[in-house]
Amino acid sequence: MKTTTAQQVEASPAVDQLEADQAIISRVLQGHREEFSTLIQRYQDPLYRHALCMTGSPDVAEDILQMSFIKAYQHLAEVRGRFDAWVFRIVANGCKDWLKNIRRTHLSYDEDDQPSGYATPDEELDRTELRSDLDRALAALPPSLREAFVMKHVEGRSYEEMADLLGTTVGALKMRVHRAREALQVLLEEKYA
Amino acid sequence: MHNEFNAPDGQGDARRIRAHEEESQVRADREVPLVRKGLTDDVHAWLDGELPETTVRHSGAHEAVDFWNRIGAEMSARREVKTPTHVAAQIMAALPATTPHLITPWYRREMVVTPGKAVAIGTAIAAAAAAVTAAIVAG
Repeated sequence: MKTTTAQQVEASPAVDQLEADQAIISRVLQGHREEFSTLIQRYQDPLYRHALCMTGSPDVAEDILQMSFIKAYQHLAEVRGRFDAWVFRIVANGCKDWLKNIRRTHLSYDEDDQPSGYATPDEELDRTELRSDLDRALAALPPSLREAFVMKHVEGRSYEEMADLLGTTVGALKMRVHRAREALQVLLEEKYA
Repeated sequence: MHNEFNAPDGQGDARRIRAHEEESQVRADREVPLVRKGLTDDVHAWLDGELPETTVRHSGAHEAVDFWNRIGAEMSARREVKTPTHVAAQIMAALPATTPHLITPWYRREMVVTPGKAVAIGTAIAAAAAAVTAAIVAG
Protein backbone atom coordinates (compact mmCIF):
# COMPACT_ATOMS: atom_id res chain seq x y z
CA MET A 1 0.00 0.00 0.00
CA LYS A 2 2.82 2.36 0.90
CA THR A 3 4.59 1.52 -2.34
CA THR A 4 1.46 2.32 -4.34
CA THR A 5 1.11 5.69 -2.63
CA ALA A 6 4.77 6.51 -3.23
CA GLN A 7 4.43 5.56 -6.88
CA GLN A 8 1.36 7.77 -7.18
CA VAL A 9 3.24 10.69 -5.67
CA GLU A 10 6.22 10.17 -7.96
CA ALA A 11 4.19 9.71 -11.11
CA SER A 12 3.70 12.82 -13.23
CA PRO A 13 0.10 14.09 -13.27
CA ALA A 14 0.28 14.38 -17.07
CA VAL A 15 1.22 10.71 -17.38
CA ASP A 16 -1.54 9.74 -14.96
CA GLN A 17 -4.01 11.74 -16.98
CA LEU A 18 -2.83 10.19 -20.23
CA GLU A 19 -3.16 6.69 -18.82
CA ALA A 20 -6.57 7.43 -17.31
CA ASP A 21 -7.80 8.78 -20.64
CA GLN A 22 -6.44 5.78 -22.51
CA ALA A 23 -8.18 3.43 -20.09
CA ILE A 24 -11.49 5.22 -20.70
CA ILE A 25 -10.94 5.14 -24.47
CA SER A 26 -10.30 1.38 -24.32
CA ARG A 27 -13.55 0.85 -22.42
CA VAL A 28 -15.51 2.99 -24.90
CA LEU A 29 -14.01 1.00 -27.78
CA GLN A 30 -15.12 -2.20 -26.03
CA GLY A 31 -18.69 -0.96 -26.22
CA HIS A 32 -19.09 1.03 -22.98
CA ARG A 33 -20.44 4.10 -24.76
CA GLU A 34 -21.50 5.84 -21.53
CA GLU A 35 -17.85 6.10 -20.42
CA PHE A 36 -17.33 8.76 -23.06
CA SER A 37 -19.22 11.22 -20.82
CA THR A 38 -16.22 11.15 -18.44
CA LEU A 39 -14.03 12.53 -21.20
CA ILE A 40 -16.65 15.17 -22.04
CA GLN A 41 -16.93 16.28 -18.41
CA ARG A 42 -13.17 16.36 -18.04
CA TYR A 43 -12.39 18.55 -21.05
CA GLN A 44 -15.53 20.45 -22.02
CA ASP A 45 -14.85 23.66 -20.06
CA PRO A 46 -11.51 24.72 -21.60
CA LEU A 47 -12.76 23.67 -25.02
CA TYR A 48 -16.00 25.62 -24.60
CA ARG A 49 -14.07 28.70 -23.45
CA HIS A 50 -11.82 28.47 -26.47
CA ALA A 51 -14.77 28.18 -28.86
CA LEU A 52 -16.63 30.99 -27.07
CA CYS A 53 -13.70 33.40 -27.24
CA MET A 54 -12.99 32.53 -30.86
CA THR A 55 -16.57 32.84 -32.10
CA GLY A 56 -18.07 35.28 -29.60
CA SER A 57 -21.33 33.32 -29.56
CA PRO A 58 -22.44 30.80 -26.90
CA ASP A 59 -24.74 29.03 -29.35
CA VAL A 60 -21.99 28.58 -31.91
CA ALA A 61 -19.54 27.52 -29.19
CA GLU A 62 -22.01 24.83 -28.06
CA ASP A 63 -22.48 23.62 -31.63
CA ILE A 64 -18.75 23.45 -32.27
CA LEU A 65 -18.21 21.62 -28.98
CA GLN A 66 -20.93 19.10 -29.81
CA MET A 67 -19.69 18.48 -33.35
CA SER A 68 -16.13 18.13 -32.12
CA PHE A 69 -16.97 15.55 -29.46
CA ILE A 70 -19.06 13.58 -31.95
CA LYS A 71 -16.16 13.60 -34.40
CA ALA A 72 -13.81 12.59 -31.59
CA TYR A 73 -16.11 9.68 -30.69
CA GLN A 74 -16.34 8.50 -34.29
CA HIS A 75 -12.55 8.51 -34.67
CA LEU A 76 -11.73 7.46 -31.11
CA ALA A 77 -9.83 4.38 -32.29
CA GLU A 78 -7.37 6.66 -34.08
CA VAL A 79 -6.26 8.56 -30.95
CA ARG A 80 -2.51 8.42 -30.52
CA GLY A 81 -1.04 10.28 -27.52
CA ARG A 82 -2.97 12.87 -25.52
CA PHE A 83 -6.74 12.86 -25.98
CA ASP A 84 -7.08 16.46 -24.75
CA ALA A 85 -4.58 17.77 -27.31
CA TRP A 86 -6.24 15.77 -30.06
CA VAL A 87 -9.74 16.98 -29.25
CA PHE A 88 -8.45 20.55 -28.81
CA ARG A 89 -7.19 20.48 -32.40
CA ILE A 90 -10.62 19.32 -33.58
CA VAL A 91 -12.29 22.23 -31.74
CA ALA A 92 -9.68 24.76 -32.93
CA ASN A 93 -10.17 23.63 -36.53
CA GLY A 94 -13.94 23.80 -36.06
CA CYS A 95 -13.61 27.42 -34.91
CA LYS A 96 -11.36 28.33 -37.83
CA ASP A 97 -13.76 26.71 -40.31
CA TRP A 98 -16.67 28.60 -38.79
CA LEU A 99 -14.78 31.88 -38.96
CA LYS A 100 -13.93 31.22 -42.59
CA ASN A 101 -17.44 30.35 -43.65
CA ILE A 102 -19.85 32.32 -41.55
CA ARG A 103 -20.27 36.01 -41.03
CA ARG A 104 -21.11 36.68 -37.44
CA THR A 105 -24.40 38.31 -36.53
CA HIS A 106 -23.54 39.08 -32.94
CA LEU A 107 -20.39 39.19 -30.87
CA SER A 108 -21.23 39.51 -27.20
CA TYR A 109 -22.07 36.46 -25.20
CA ASP A 110 -24.88 35.97 -22.75
CA GLU A 111 -24.43 38.13 -19.70
CA ASP A 112 -26.45 35.78 -17.51
CA ASP A 113 -24.04 32.92 -18.09
CA GLN A 114 -21.08 34.88 -16.81
CA PRO A 115 -19.89 34.98 -13.22
CA SER A 116 -19.84 38.33 -11.48
CA GLY A 117 -17.09 39.20 -9.02
CA TYR A 118 -17.85 42.91 -8.92
CA ALA A 119 -19.35 44.53 -5.89
CA THR A 120 -21.16 47.62 -7.13
CA PRO A 121 -23.52 48.23 -10.06
CA ASP A 122 -21.10 50.87 -11.43
CA GLU A 123 -18.28 48.36 -11.51
CA GLU A 124 -20.59 45.85 -13.13
CA LEU A 125 -21.60 48.42 -15.77
CA ASP A 126 -17.97 49.31 -16.50
CA ARG A 127 -17.13 45.67 -16.77
CA THR A 128 -20.01 44.95 -19.15
CA GLU A 129 -18.87 47.81 -21.37
CA LEU A 130 -15.27 46.61 -21.29
CA ARG A 131 -16.41 43.09 -22.08
CA SER A 132 -18.33 44.11 -25.18
CA ASP A 133 -15.55 46.44 -26.33
CA LEU A 134 -13.05 43.65 -25.83
CA ASP A 135 -15.29 41.25 -27.78
CA ARG A 136 -15.41 43.71 -30.65
CA ALA A 137 -11.66 44.27 -30.53
CA LEU A 138 -10.97 40.52 -30.45
CA ALA A 139 -13.34 40.01 -33.37
CA ALA A 140 -11.35 42.57 -35.34
CA LEU A 141 -8.16 40.53 -35.01
CA PRO A 142 -7.19 38.00 -37.67
CA PRO A 143 -8.11 34.46 -36.48
CA SER A 144 -4.51 33.36 -36.00
CA LEU A 145 -3.76 36.33 -33.70
CA ARG A 146 -7.04 35.90 -31.82
CA GLU A 147 -6.36 32.21 -31.32
CA ALA A 148 -2.88 32.86 -29.94
CA PHE A 149 -4.09 35.67 -27.64
CA VAL A 150 -7.02 33.63 -26.30
CA MET A 151 -4.83 30.59 -25.64
CA LYS A 152 -2.26 32.73 -23.81
CA HIS A 153 -4.42 35.16 -21.87
CA VAL A 154 -7.77 33.43 -21.40
CA GLU A 155 -6.73 29.79 -21.25
CA GLY A 156 -3.45 30.65 -19.51
CA ARG A 157 -1.37 28.21 -21.54
CA SER A 158 2.41 28.37 -21.83
CA TYR A 159 4.02 29.09 -25.20
CA GLU A 160 5.44 25.56 -25.20
CA GLU A 161 1.99 24.02 -24.71
CA MET A 162 0.53 26.29 -27.39
CA ALA A 163 3.28 25.29 -29.81
CA ASP A 164 2.60 21.63 -29.07
CA LEU A 165 -1.14 22.01 -29.64
CA LEU A 166 -0.94 24.16 -32.76
CA GLY A 167 2.07 22.45 -34.33
CA THR A 168 4.10 25.63 -34.67
CA THR A 169 7.13 27.22 -33.01
CA VAL A 170 7.31 29.16 -29.74
CA GLY A 171 8.85 32.11 -31.61
CA ALA A 172 6.00 32.30 -34.09
CA LEU A 173 3.43 32.17 -31.30
CA LYS A 174 5.20 34.87 -29.29
CA MET A 175 5.11 37.04 -32.37
CA ARG A 176 1.37 36.40 -32.83
CA VAL A 177 0.59 37.17 -29.18
CA HIS A 178 2.71 40.35 -29.29
CA ARG A 179 0.99 41.51 -32.46
CA ALA A 180 -2.42 40.77 -30.96
CA ARG A 181 -1.55 42.83 -27.86
CA GLU A 182 -0.34 45.73 -29.97
CA ALA A 183 -3.54 45.62 -32.02
CA LEU A 184 -5.78 45.42 -28.94
CA GLN A 185 -3.89 48.29 -27.32
CA VAL A 186 -4.47 50.42 -30.42
CA LEU A 187 -8.16 49.47 -30.57
CA LEU A 188 -8.91 50.01 -26.88
CA GLU A 189 -6.40 52.52 -25.52
CA GLU A 190 -8.35 55.64 -26.48
CA LYS A 191 -11.19 54.60 -24.20
CA TYR A 192 -9.44 52.64 -21.48
CA ALA A 193 -5.77 53.65 -21.30
CA MET B 1 0.40 82.39 -53.80
CA HIS B 2 2.34 84.73 -51.59
CA ASN B 3 1.45 87.60 -53.86
CA GLU B 4 -2.24 86.88 -53.56
CA PHE B 5 -2.08 87.40 -49.81
CA ASN B 6 -0.59 90.80 -50.38
CA ALA B 7 -3.06 91.85 -53.01
CA PRO B 8 -3.90 95.54 -52.76
CA ASP B 9 -7.62 95.01 -53.31
CA GLY B 10 -8.31 94.23 -49.63
CA GLN B 11 -9.20 90.64 -50.37
CA GLY B 12 -5.80 89.49 -49.13
CA ASP B 13 -6.97 89.21 -45.53
CA ALA B 14 -9.95 87.05 -46.42
CA ARG B 15 -7.75 84.78 -48.51
CA ARG B 16 -5.19 84.65 -45.73
CA ILE B 17 -7.87 83.65 -43.19
CA ARG B 18 -9.28 81.01 -45.52
CA ALA B 19 -5.82 79.61 -46.23
CA HIS B 20 -5.05 79.59 -42.51
CA GLU B 21 -8.24 77.65 -41.80
CA GLU B 22 -7.40 75.12 -44.50
CA GLU B 23 -3.87 74.83 -43.19
CA SER B 24 -5.16 74.33 -39.64
CA GLN B 25 -7.38 71.53 -40.85
CA VAL B 26 -4.44 69.87 -42.57
CA ARG B 27 -2.34 70.34 -39.44
CA ALA B 28 -5.14 68.83 -37.32
CA ASP B 29 -5.14 65.79 -39.58
CA ARG B 30 -1.40 65.53 -39.21
CA GLU B 31 -1.75 65.48 -35.44
CA VAL B 32 -2.74 61.83 -35.76
CA PRO B 33 0.61 60.12 -35.28
CA LEU B 34 1.78 58.40 -38.40
CA VAL B 35 3.84 55.90 -36.44
CA ARG B 36 2.12 54.73 -33.29
CA LYS B 37 4.30 53.83 -30.37
CA GLY B 38 3.85 50.14 -29.60
CA LEU B 39 4.18 48.27 -26.34
CA THR B 40 7.69 48.12 -24.97
CA ASP B 41 9.60 44.88 -24.65
CA ASP B 42 9.32 45.26 -20.86
CA VAL B 43 5.53 45.27 -21.04
CA HIS B 44 5.51 42.19 -23.26
CA ALA B 45 7.97 40.48 -20.90
CA TRP B 46 5.73 41.31 -17.93
CA LEU B 47 2.64 40.02 -19.73
CA ASP B 48 4.59 36.85 -20.56
CA GLY B 49 5.40 36.43 -16.87
CA GLU B 50 9.10 37.12 -17.33
CA LEU B 51 9.27 40.41 -15.40
CA PRO B 52 7.57 41.63 -12.21
CA GLU B 53 5.05 44.48 -12.46
CA THR B 54 7.19 46.80 -10.30
CA THR B 55 10.09 46.61 -12.75
CA VAL B 56 7.83 47.59 -15.63
CA ARG B 57 6.32 50.45 -13.61
CA HIS B 58 9.84 51.69 -12.80
CA SER B 59 10.51 51.81 -16.53
CA GLY B 60 7.71 54.37 -16.83
CA ALA B 61 5.03 52.21 -18.44
CA HIS B 62 2.35 52.99 -15.81
CA GLU B 63 -0.43 53.55 -18.33
CA ALA B 64 0.24 50.32 -20.18
CA VAL B 65 0.41 48.37 -16.90
CA ASP B 66 -2.91 49.82 -15.71
CA PHE B 67 -4.51 49.15 -19.07
CA TRP B 68 -3.36 45.53 -19.19
CA ASN B 69 -4.31 44.93 -15.57
CA ARG B 70 -7.82 45.96 -16.51
CA ILE B 71 -7.84 43.68 -19.54
CA GLY B 72 -6.33 40.94 -17.39
CA ALA B 73 -9.21 41.17 -14.91
CA GLU B 74 -11.69 40.67 -17.73
CA MET B 75 -9.65 37.75 -19.06
CA SER B 76 -9.63 36.15 -15.60
CA ALA B 77 -13.42 36.41 -15.49
CA ARG B 78 -13.60 34.63 -18.85
CA ARG B 79 -11.37 31.88 -17.48
CA GLU B 80 -14.15 31.05 -15.00
CA VAL B 81 -16.79 30.53 -17.69
CA LYS B 82 -18.27 27.03 -17.50
CA THR B 83 -19.99 25.01 -20.17
CA PRO B 84 -23.79 25.22 -19.82
CA THR B 85 -24.96 22.19 -17.86
CA HIS B 86 -27.17 20.73 -20.60
CA VAL B 87 -24.36 20.46 -23.15
CA ALA B 88 -22.77 17.20 -21.93
CA ALA B 89 -26.11 15.38 -21.97
CA GLN B 90 -26.88 16.86 -25.37
CA ILE B 91 -23.59 15.55 -26.76
CA MET B 92 -24.12 12.09 -25.29
CA ALA B 93 -27.61 11.96 -26.82
CA ALA B 94 -26.20 12.94 -30.22
CA LEU B 95 -23.45 10.29 -30.29
CA PRO B 96 -23.83 7.54 -32.90
CA ALA B 97 -25.26 4.31 -31.51
CA THR B 98 -22.47 2.20 -32.99
CA THR B 99 -19.20 1.57 -31.20
CA PRO B 100 -16.32 3.40 -32.89
CA HIS B 101 -13.77 1.17 -34.57
CA LEU B 102 -10.61 1.75 -36.51
CA ILE B 103 -11.11 1.96 -40.25
CA THR B 104 -7.76 1.27 -41.91
CA PRO B 105 -7.47 2.09 -45.61
CA TRP B 106 -6.42 -0.90 -47.77
CA TYR B 107 -3.00 0.60 -48.53
CA ARG B 108 -2.17 0.79 -44.82
CA ARG B 109 -3.34 -2.70 -43.97
CA GLU B 110 -0.74 -5.32 -43.19
CA MET B 111 -0.13 -7.69 -46.11
CA VAL B 112 0.89 -11.27 -45.40
CA VAL B 113 2.47 -13.14 -48.29
CA THR B 114 2.47 -16.91 -47.90
CA PRO B 115 4.55 -19.16 -50.24
CA GLY B 116 1.36 -20.26 -51.99
CA LYS B 117 0.28 -16.62 -52.55
CA ALA B 118 3.76 -15.73 -53.80
CA VAL B 119 3.70 -18.54 -56.37
CA ALA B 120 0.18 -17.54 -57.51
CA ILE B 121 1.17 -13.86 -57.86
CA GLY B 122 4.34 -14.81 -59.75
CA THR B 123 2.41 -17.08 -62.13
CA ALA B 124 -0.19 -14.37 -62.75
CA ILE B 125 2.49 -11.77 -63.55
CA ALA B 126 4.30 -14.21 -65.90
CA ALA B 127 1.02 -15.07 -67.66
CA ALA B 128 0.13 -11.39 -68.06
CA ALA B 129 3.60 -10.61 -69.44
CA ALA B 130 3.36 -13.53 -71.89
CA ALA B 131 -0.08 -12.38 -73.07
CA VAL B 132 1.15 -8.82 -73.62
CA THR B 133 4.26 -10.07 -75.48
CA ALA B 134 2.13 -12.37 -77.69
CA ALA B 135 -0.23 -9.51 -78.49
CA ILE B 136 2.66 -7.23 -79.46
CA VAL B 137 4.32 -9.95 -81.64
CA ALA B 138 0.99 -10.79 -83.33
CA GLY B 139 0.28 -7.08 -83.99
